[in-house]
This record gives sequence, structure tokens and C-alpha cells, in this order.
Amino acid sequence: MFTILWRTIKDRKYSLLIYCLSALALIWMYIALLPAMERMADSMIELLSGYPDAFVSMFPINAESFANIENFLAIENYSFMVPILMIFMLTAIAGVSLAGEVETGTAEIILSTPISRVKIFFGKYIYGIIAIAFFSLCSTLSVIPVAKIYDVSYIAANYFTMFGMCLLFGWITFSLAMFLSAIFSEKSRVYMFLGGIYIMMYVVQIVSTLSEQWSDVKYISFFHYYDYEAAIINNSIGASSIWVFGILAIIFTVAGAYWYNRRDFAI
Amino acid sequence: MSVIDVKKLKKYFGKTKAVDDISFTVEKGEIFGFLGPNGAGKTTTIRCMMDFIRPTEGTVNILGLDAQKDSVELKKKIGYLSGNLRLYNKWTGREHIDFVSKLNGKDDIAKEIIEKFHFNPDQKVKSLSSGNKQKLGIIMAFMTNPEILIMDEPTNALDPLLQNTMYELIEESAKNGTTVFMSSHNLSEVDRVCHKVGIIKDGKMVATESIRNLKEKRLYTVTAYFSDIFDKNEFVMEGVGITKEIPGGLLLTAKGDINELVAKLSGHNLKDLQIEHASLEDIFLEFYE
Repeated sequence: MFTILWRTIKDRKYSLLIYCLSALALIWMYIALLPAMERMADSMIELLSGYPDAFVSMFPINAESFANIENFLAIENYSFMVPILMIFMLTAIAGVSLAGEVETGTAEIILSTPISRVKIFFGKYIYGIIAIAFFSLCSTLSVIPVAKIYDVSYIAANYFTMFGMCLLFGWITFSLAMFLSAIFSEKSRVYMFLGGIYIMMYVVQIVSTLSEQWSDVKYISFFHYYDYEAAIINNSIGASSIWVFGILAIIFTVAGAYWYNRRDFAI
Repeated sequence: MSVIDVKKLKKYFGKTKAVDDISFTVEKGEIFGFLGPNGAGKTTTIRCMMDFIRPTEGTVNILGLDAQKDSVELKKKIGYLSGNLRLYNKWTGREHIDFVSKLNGKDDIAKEIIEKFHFNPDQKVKSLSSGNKQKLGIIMAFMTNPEILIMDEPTNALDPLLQNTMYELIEESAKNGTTVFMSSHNLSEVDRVCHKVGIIKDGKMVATESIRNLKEKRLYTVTAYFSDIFDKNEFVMEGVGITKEIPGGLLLTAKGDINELVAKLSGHNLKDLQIEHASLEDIFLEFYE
């Protein structure tokens, strides 16, 4: 299993590095921009007030948003950029790892060696977990040294909590992607299905904010449990986030490994 | 006990019967040729043996172990060469060899085979010719000194010289006790290296015979040139087929007792007569009629 893990790390080190550096660059940019944004806060809020309420509800910006780095990053980085980058990165990793190998035919090389399919699955899976950890680290804890460079005050504990939230969100995203990758034989189908699922979840999340009647549909969206504001501003992760992400990630992981172990590889 | 024992193997993909109730055995040290045209079910059978796909019904036992349940244990003893070899384009040959070696976790003879095939392992796969890619596949199959070799059309993309090297390697392995199972649609290849042959047609095994027995089947090719006038309809009899008319004669295929045909021919004034045992190709085609 570790041979497969090591080989996967070797093959994908540059793409992981690019994602991590992008996360770091975003943090750097936002921290560097904070003073300017603080000065422009009033005009931005005034600009947004001219838009429809439903639109503004998607961008919950107010005077508080620029009051400190945690609030600012919550709005600018953790609300959209971090989850979207994570979804892209982890979907790509999962798609290439299993379905991609079947598609290109290289799966036969591994399958003809004396290693069980479950170990193959987890060899690839562990790489994804490592990628989540590194990316989350660069997206959260990197704030601490960068904020020091720019002399911006921060609450260190909140970034550790946000790190936990990113790990949870990454874990569920990757587990779902690996489950689909274990089922399909083409990575494009994995991407297509996941794309559909996330668009549906995003739409559901927006719809739930528009009307009281539809507010309960938010519970079927991952974005509801990805409560970045609670993590980065209030330094807390809700129990529902931990349970829903944790249980679903385990279910998708076990189902993916089971399917991969049972399926036919007609390459 | 047979090294490979396939019993009543069926593999259906929906309504398509890729393999339909085939059985055969392969003994230790034997080179078994699995013959059939494209789509006959050769690769599906091999994939069942390698546990890439699971049989709809039937069993595959190799070295007394179940190919599905004991797959990991078995693959320590099997060298496999795919008929549709796909490699990692960004890796070098050496990276492939090291990867397989580490997963097998035992000493190998890769260096020896690399030299035999004059293969440069430091080149990236994407820059290799199809012949060199096939060489790499062969190295990966043979490098662990396996007890069993399962190969799907092993000489694909190899030039005649390398094909000979490959045949020598197969024969040498068999002499050392390795059991070889290879699919092919190259009859001369099977004729040259195999001890036994299984012929598959539309997912069903139509014959399993030793090459010698197959050739000794009483199937003849008869070429007769006549000095006198002849009527081809004279030779329409049971077990005799007129393959074609040639200038001044006939090319006939005879099956079973040829005495009646010889008697009929002796009633003519013959310029020349040639009676040969049919080639493996003729025998193969006979099964496919």
C-alpha cells in the first residue's frame, strides 16, 4: 500500500504544490489588501445596498466584514475560494486515481501485482487525505506568519478551528469523489456527476435563504454544514457539521472500497 | 493436479455471452495456446483468470487456489502480459520495473531480461516505440521468475527477430517448470511454441488438443494433376471438399478415411499427386467452418 502511496505522491507532487501555493497566495493577497479594504468598506456596502436582497444574501457583507482579518477572510476566502479550490483539487485527484487508471488501462499494471484491491484503494485514498491536510494548512494556518509580516492582529485559535473545518469539508468532498471514481470507468463521468451534485447543493443552499418555506432544504447541502463563519469568527465547529461530514465520509469511503473490491475491470 | 483448472466458466455482460461454459486444464510446464479470432472470448477468459473480472458462473483454480478468493496469493506466482498493454507515459521503463518489483517484494531477474531484449530502461515511456513498450511489458511479466505466465497475444508489435527471442524465453521458462498460458491468433506462433491448444469460438471451447494430436487428426490436403479428362463432380463424396480448381487439376481437402478418394483418383491417369497432412491453419479453419 505504501508503494502505491509513495508513487502517487511522486506523480502528483507538482499539482498539489500548485494548489497549496495558490491557497497561500490568496491568503497573502487578502492580508495585504485588508488595510485598503477597510478604507473602502463604506462605499462597498453602499454599492451592495443597490442590489436585490436575494443577491445580497449570497454575499453577506456589512461593516463588520472589514473590522478584522477573521471577518474579512470569512467573506473573501473561506466562503467561496477555499471550498471551490478544494472541490476542484480533490475531484481531480479522485478522478485520476481510480476511474482515470481504468480509462487509460494502467489499472492492469497494479491489479496484476500481489496487492489487494482494498489496499490499492486506500493507497490512493491516503494521498488524498495528505493533500487535504496540506491544502487546509496553507489555507488556514499560513495566516499566522503572513499576518505577522503585515503586522495585522489575528486570533490564532480560530485558524486551528478553521483548519479542522477545512479537513472535514475536504474529507467529505474527497470521499464522495472516490466513491464515484470507484464506480465509474471514465474520469469525465466522475467530474460530470460531482459537478452536478455540487451545483445542485449550491442552488439548494441559495433557495433555502430566499424563502422560509424552503429553508429546510438546506440540510441536504454540504455547504450548510460547511459553517466557515462559526469556525473562523466564533472559533467553533457545530456538532452537526462533525457528525454529518464524519458519518457521510465514512459511508462513502467504505462504499467506495467495497465497490472497487467487487467491480469488474474490463479495460 | 493441473496447474490451471477452469471449470464451466461463464461470463456474461448483460445479454452478451462473452464466455459460455468453457472448461480446460493446463499441466505443469506446459505451454498452452489459446486460439481464437477477435471477440471469441480469449481476453475475457484471461481477465477472469487474473481476477480483473468476476465470472458469472464457474470456477478458475490456479495452483490449487481460487483465482478470485486467493487472488493476492496467486499473483505472487503469476507473470502477466496484457494484450492491450498500457503504461504510465510519464514514467521511465525503470520506474515501471521498480514499481512492479516493490509490489512483488522479491528478488527479480529484470536486469537479465533487459539485456536479452537490448532495452533501454531509462527512457520515458511516451518516447518509446510500440515494440519497445511491448518489450517493457514482457520484462515486467518475466522479471519475477513466475511459476505461471499468463499472456494475451505476447508477440504483438514485436519484429520477427524479437518474436524469436520471445519464443526462446517462453520455451526456456517452460523447461524450468513455468506453466505458460498464452492467447494468440497467430497460428504459426502457436504451432512453434505451444504443446497444447484450446480453440475458442463465440465464447465456447470447440477443441482442446495437444498440437501433435491436432496435427495427427486425419485431415489432408490433396493436390492432383490429371493427364486425362476429369469431372470435379466425381470427387463429391463424404469427407471430401473441393477447395479450388487449378489448371489441369484439383485442390481437395479430405477428412477421415481417404481410401475411397485414392481409389477414385487411381482411376485416372495422374500427372502428379501430392497428399499432405493439413497445416494447423487448415485445422483451425476447419473448426471455424
